[in-house]
Amino acid sequence: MMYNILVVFTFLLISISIYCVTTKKNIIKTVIGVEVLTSSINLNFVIMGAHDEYVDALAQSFAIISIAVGASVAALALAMVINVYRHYGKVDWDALRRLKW
Amino acid sequence: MVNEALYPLMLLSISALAVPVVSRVGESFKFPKLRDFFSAAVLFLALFTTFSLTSLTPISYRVEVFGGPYGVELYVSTMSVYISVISLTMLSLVAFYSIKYMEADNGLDRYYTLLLTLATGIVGVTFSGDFFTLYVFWELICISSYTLVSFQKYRWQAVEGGIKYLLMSTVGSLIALYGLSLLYGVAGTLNFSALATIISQSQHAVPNMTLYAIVVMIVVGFGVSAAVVPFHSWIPDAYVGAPNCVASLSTVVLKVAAFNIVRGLITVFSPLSFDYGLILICLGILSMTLGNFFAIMQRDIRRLLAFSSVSNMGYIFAGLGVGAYVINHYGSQATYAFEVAMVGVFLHMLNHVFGKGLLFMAVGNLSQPTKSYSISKLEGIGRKMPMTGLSASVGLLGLGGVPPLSGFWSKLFIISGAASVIVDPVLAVTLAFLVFNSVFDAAYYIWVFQRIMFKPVADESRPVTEVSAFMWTPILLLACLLIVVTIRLDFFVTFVQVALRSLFGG
Repeated sequence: MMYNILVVFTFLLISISIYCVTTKKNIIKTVIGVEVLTSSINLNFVIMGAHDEYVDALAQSFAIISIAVGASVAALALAMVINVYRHYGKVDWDALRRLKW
Repeated sequence: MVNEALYPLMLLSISALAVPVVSRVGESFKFPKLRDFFSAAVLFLALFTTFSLTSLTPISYRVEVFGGPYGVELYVSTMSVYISVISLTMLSLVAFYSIKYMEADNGLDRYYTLLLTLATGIVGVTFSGDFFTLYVFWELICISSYTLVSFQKYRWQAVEGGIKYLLMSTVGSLIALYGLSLLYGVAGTLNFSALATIISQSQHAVPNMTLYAIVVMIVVGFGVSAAVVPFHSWIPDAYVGAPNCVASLSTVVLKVAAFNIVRGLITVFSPLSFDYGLILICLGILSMTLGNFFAIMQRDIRRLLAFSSVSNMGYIFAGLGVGAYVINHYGSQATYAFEVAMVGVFLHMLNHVFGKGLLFMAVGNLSQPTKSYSISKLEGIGRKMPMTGLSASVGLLGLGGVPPLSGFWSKLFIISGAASVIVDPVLAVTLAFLVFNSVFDAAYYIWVFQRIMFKPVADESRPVTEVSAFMWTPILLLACLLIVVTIRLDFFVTFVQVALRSLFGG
C-alpha cells in the first residue's frame, strides 16, 4: 500500500517537472525542470526495487548510474546555456527564434 | 579470454581515450593530422571487427553481479551486427571526410574523441541485451551528438540548434526511462529475453493499461530522438546548426532511436498480443505527410533535407505499424505481410542512412564556392563539380525513390506489406498515404536534382572547381554502395530476413 502512495507521488513529481519544462520561458528554469524529472525517475527506480523483506540491489545500481548520466547531461546543458548567454545576451526561449527557413 | 562481443566496444572506447594523446604526439612531430587518420583507421577497424562477428552470432556476455541471469547483458544478434555495420560504415566515411572538411576548426582532438564515443554508444546500443545497458549507451550517443551538433560554438546557429536538440531529446529519453522503471516494477527485470517470456505470461495478471502506458512512453521517448512529427521541431534547427559532416551522422542517430523502438516493441511486447500498430501507423502517416509538406516550403537545402528525414522516418514508422497491425489482426496467416513490411523497414533504414549521409556531405561540398546553402544559389553547381554532382544525383534520385535505385525497392516493400490485406480500411488508408507520399517525394527530389544539375549557374563570375579528393571520395564510395545495394538487392533482403529472425530469437 505504501509503495502505491510513493508511485503516485513520483508520478506527481514527474507531472510537475514536465509542466515546468514545457511552460517556463527561462532556459535555466527548464534545465532545473529536467533535473527534477531525472531525480523523480531515479526515485521511481528505487521504489520499484523496494520490497517488504528485502531491497533489490539491481534497481539501486540503476539509480546510481542514472544519477551519473543525469549529472553529465546537466553539465552539458548548463554549458550550452552559458553559450546561449554569450550569443544572445539573455537566457530566454523567446530570444532563440532566429532560425527560420 | 575476452568475450568477442567486447572487441569493437573496447577498441572504440580505448581509442576514444587515446585520441588526445595521439593528438599531442602528432603535434610534437609537426603532423597534427595524425589524430584524424588515427580515428578514421580505428573506425574502419571497428567496422571490420563488428562485421567479423556475423558468423559468431548469437553471442551473449553476462556480467553476473546482481541477481544472476537478470543482470547486465550484452547480446549480439545478426540484427545488431546489421545496424552497427551500417552505422560504422557511415561514421568511418564521415571521419575520413572530416579530415579535410573540419580542417579550419580548432579543438579537433575533442571532435574526434566525440566521434569515437558516438561510435561506442551506437555499437553498445545495438549490442545490449537488456534495457538498462541500452539506456546508458543511448545517453552516451545523445551526449556525444549534442556536443557534436553545437561543436562550432562560435556560430549562433550551432548554439541555438544544439540547446533545442539537447532539451527535447533529453526529456524524451527521460520519459522512456520512466517507462523502463515502470517496466522494472511490473516484471522485476529489464533483460530482453526474460522480459519477453514474463510479459507474455503475466499479461492477464497485470492491468493492460499499465503495459500500454509503458509502450506509449517507449514510443514517445525514443520517438523524440527519432524525429516523428509531433516531436520533430528540433531537427531542422539542429541540422542547420551542425557542421555538415555531423548532420550526416545525425541520420545514424535517428535510425538507432528507431531501432530502440523496434527492440522494445517487437521483442518485448509481442505484436501478437499487443495492439499498438495503429499508434505507429498514425505517427508514420503524420510524419510522412507533414514532413513532405514542410520540405517543399524550405529555401535552405539543409532544412529541406531535415524535413525529408522526418518524412523518411515516417515511412519507417508506418512500415513498423503495418507489420504490427497486420500480425495482430490477421494472426499467423499474415506472417508473410509482416515479414515483407519489416524487411522494407530495415532496408529503408540502410538506404536512408547512406542516401541522406551522402547528401549532407555533398551539400557541404557544393556550398564551398558560394558559402551559401540556399537552393537558388546552388543552381547548376553540380555540373561544375563532376564527382560531387554525380554522387549527389545518385543520392537524390535514390532517396526520391526513382525506380531502378534502391530507395524505390525499400518503399515498395513497405507498400506491398500494406497492400497485402487490402480489405482492411486502416491498411487501405495507409496504402493511399504511402503511395501519395512516395510520388510526392520523387517529385520534389527530381525538382531539386534538376535545379542543382541542369539549371544555368546563377553567378558565372565566381570560379567553381571540384573540391579536394578527401571530400569527394567518401561521397563517391557511398554512391557506389547505394548502387551495389540496388544490384545485389537479393543478398541484402536475405541478410535482413536472417537478421529479423534473430530479433525474435532473443
